[in-house]
Amino acid sequence: MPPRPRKRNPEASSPPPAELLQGPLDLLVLGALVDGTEHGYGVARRIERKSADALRVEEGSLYPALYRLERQGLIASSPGRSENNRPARFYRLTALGRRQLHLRAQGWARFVEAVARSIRPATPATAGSASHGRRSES
Amino acid sequence: MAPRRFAAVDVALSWLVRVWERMSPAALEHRVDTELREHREHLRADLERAGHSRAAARRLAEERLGDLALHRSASLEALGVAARRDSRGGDSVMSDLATETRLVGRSLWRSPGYSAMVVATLALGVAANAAIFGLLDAVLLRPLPYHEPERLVRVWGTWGTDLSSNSNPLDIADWSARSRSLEGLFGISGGAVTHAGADRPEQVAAHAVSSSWLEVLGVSPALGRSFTADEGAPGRSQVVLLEYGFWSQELGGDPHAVGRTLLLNGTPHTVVGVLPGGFPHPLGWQSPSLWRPLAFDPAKTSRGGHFLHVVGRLAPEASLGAAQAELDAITADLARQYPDTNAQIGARLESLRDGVVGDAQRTLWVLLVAVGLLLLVAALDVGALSLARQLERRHETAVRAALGASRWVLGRGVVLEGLLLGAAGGIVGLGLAGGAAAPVLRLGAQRLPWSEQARFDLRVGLFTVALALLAGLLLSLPAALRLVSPALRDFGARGRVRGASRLDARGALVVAQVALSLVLLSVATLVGQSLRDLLATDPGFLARDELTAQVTLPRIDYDTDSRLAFFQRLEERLEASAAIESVGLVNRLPLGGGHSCDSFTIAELPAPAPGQEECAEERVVTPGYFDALGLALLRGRVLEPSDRLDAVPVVVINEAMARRYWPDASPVGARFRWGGAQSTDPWREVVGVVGDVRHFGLTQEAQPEVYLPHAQVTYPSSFHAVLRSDDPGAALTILRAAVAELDPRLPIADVRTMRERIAGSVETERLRSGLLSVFSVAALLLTLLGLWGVVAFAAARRRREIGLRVALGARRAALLALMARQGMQLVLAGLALGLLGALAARRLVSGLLLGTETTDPASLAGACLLLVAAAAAAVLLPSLRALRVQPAVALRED
Repeated sequence: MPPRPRKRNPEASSPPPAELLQGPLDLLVLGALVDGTEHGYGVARRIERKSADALRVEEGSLYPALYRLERQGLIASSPGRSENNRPARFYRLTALGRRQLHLRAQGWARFVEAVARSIRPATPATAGSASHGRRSES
Repeated sequence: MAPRRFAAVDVALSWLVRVWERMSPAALEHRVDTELREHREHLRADLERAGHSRAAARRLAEERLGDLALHRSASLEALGVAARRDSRGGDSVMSDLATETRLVGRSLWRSPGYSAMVVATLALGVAANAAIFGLLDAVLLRPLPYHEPERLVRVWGTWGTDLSSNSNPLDIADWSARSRSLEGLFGISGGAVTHAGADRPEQVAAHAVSSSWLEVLGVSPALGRSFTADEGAPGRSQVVLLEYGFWSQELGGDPHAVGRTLLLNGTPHTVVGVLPGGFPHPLGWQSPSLWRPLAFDPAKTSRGGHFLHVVGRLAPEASLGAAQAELDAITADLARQYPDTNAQIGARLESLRDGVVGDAQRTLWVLLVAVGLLLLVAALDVGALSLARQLERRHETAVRAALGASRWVLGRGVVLEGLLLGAAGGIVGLGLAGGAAAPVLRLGAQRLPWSEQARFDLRVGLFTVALALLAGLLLSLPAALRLVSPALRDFGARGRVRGASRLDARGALVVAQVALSLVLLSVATLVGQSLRDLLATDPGFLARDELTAQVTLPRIDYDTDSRLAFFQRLEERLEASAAIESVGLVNRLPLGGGHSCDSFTIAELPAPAPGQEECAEERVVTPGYFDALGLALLRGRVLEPSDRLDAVPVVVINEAMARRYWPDASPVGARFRWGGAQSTDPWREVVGVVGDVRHFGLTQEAQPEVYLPHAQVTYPSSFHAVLRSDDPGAALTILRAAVAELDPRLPIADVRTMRERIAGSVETERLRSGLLSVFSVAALLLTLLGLWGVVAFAAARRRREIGLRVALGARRAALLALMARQGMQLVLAGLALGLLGALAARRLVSGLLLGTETTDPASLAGACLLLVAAAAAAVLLPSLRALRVQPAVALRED
């Protein structure tokens, strides 16, 4: 596999349209790390706790997400020891990751709203005012 | 949270780990496996704690983790690595590295020309560094083999404005008795004795020391004992300690040497002990063969004579500052107690190392920096070679990249290659330094204090190896960085890389080399210029091949009258020889060192206040001395054979003395005598003034000197004969024969021509200048090599173009100019950069140089010209060769 040039600044491609959003798992991971440095296992527990046990990820799939985010420069990691003194890798949000989390959260909200609207019976007045309101906000 | 450690260490460690992981797929696999495994364990432990059975916990954990194999391969893909079938993590990192090292080693083995070139270049640079570091280590860094050497101090006497003078034995005894921050003090004075050796008498160095000296130094003799306190009393001091080398050579290393008797100056002396091997002289002088107790009778010794060098030891808790303050108070007390002699006497403390090594420190650091720059130039040279090698291997690299080697892995290979070459260069360089460079250097550096302590040991070895690895890393960096940079894709995409950018990188290396070489060259020319200036200083005598040699009469066999008779007869015999043009005798030779300053009175001038007397140097000479050494007569006459004991006492003074005491009048006719107002010395008439002689060194201004005729003084027991002749060898034979005829037991010592004495007096300057020249020429050659390579490469790349142009009728001169321009641009860029560095470097070394303008534009211009001329040759020759190509041949290629 020929080496890929690293994409240094995902932000350059500006707010992702809602329909192109990456899997919600990335967003959950970023959201878990916004509370501070944590290792992989801790990230899984945080997601569980913050969603009040409503969201359960298949925990093995956390790691490809962590590595992907690290390669994108949204999170950074350093080796260390866990609280029970086992080898562990600690992840933290980078400045870039923090901004991305903000953008993606907005995108996610738009996505959820768009889905919600699209499954309601159409009433032109409400749809127009809502989208108008959002646009003036940003 | 991770337990808090030192933040900096943490950051550095994790950075290293990250760099390593980038370069090693095995490390990444290890990381993934570890994280998944730890996750499962953590989960299982938590589940067990929540009340599940062990088996249930394991099953639940597996379930919640999901398909591990799938997640693992997805993880690796996310990390940019293709999963390998076999991966057990852990030691695979190391085996990976070992395999790669073997591969790199094999590939180097297959290109022996390249490897040999790189190893040889690095080895030369590393060997020079090791040798200089070894010397610097011995002189400046390595603790001296005394007990707690950091507590030893050099005690200088001060006398008015003279801050580095010698001291009086009674003063030393008082300092030692009254000071509490100084644990002990001892004095040393140089000297020599006649030793009745096995076949012929010889003069051997014998230094006199206070009896407590070995206790102060904290050294025990290898055999026997040190001196006892009562051996410092006159009449009891016929005992000696032997230097290790003298013991093993003259006494055959006799284990029962203690108690044996040596005949010294005709008197039997008892051996009381042997010093350990490698015992350094406390003052950094050449170790004498013998050490004698310093004998003096307190009742009969005056406080006026200052002839001892003093070393002391600070008490365990005392600081240098506190000891200095205490000593200041003591010398002030002594000045009140003995106003006649001690009014101007003080003492100054320095750490022993600072006091002894003095200015040589800077010389050594300058040399180390210079030799470091040389290694840098060498590393840049091989860096350029390594870039060229990577270019040659571009197809192989492209194939490896296409097969999935990441650019980090490719870069790692290059770094490994550099480290391997560095290690090889280090090993060869170590051998080179230990076998050749260090011994040669030590020979040249004998004037540097403690240079004989230089040893080629683990310390120097580690320094060398570390340096070599660093050089290896440095040399691989340019090539590795280019591989790692994203532009590498060009390899795969086109198969044939653009040469231009690669040439730029090599060009940058050449620019750096030119700049560094100019810095070295300019410093070397400056230091060389200062040496030439120094040697061009008029020493005050005609420095030709006059042979000089010392003849010493044992006091026990010769009284004053018979000494006079001996030397008169010796001079007559030498004068009678046709091969010798003129003969003179003197008690102290110029550049021979040693003060003999005494106070004096001039009848016509007001007497100085007590304690404010000035002193003049005494020279006892035969009348022939002025002619033999070629001193200039400025006024009056020189001494004549008629200036005998029964004639009017006379003296001749030097210009410095005349200028100081008779600035406006002629001193001829004035009356002079040694000592103060109560002196019993007879008045002596000043009959002439001769030119100044640089007695204390070429850089030292002349002091007031008084020449006395040998027949009118208490006769010295030792004279230096000065023989002017065309053939110094023949003169020595004549001298030996003449002395043997008069007394076959007498040795002839210190045989050298005046020219050699001048050379010897600037030995340190010569060493400095010589080494800097060698380093800068080596750097220049390496730079030319690099330049040649770049130009030849550029020319080879343009073969087709040149062939085409020639075929179309381009003039060769125009083509040559076109090709030379590129090379010379690099040279000029390097020159501009180097000029800045050179100006800064010259300012830095200016402190080393006396009397030479550091901004001396001539020597800087000289360095630039030399560099440009040599560089022009390195640019033109390969260009010319490229132009000789047959157009048809070049066009048909490829």
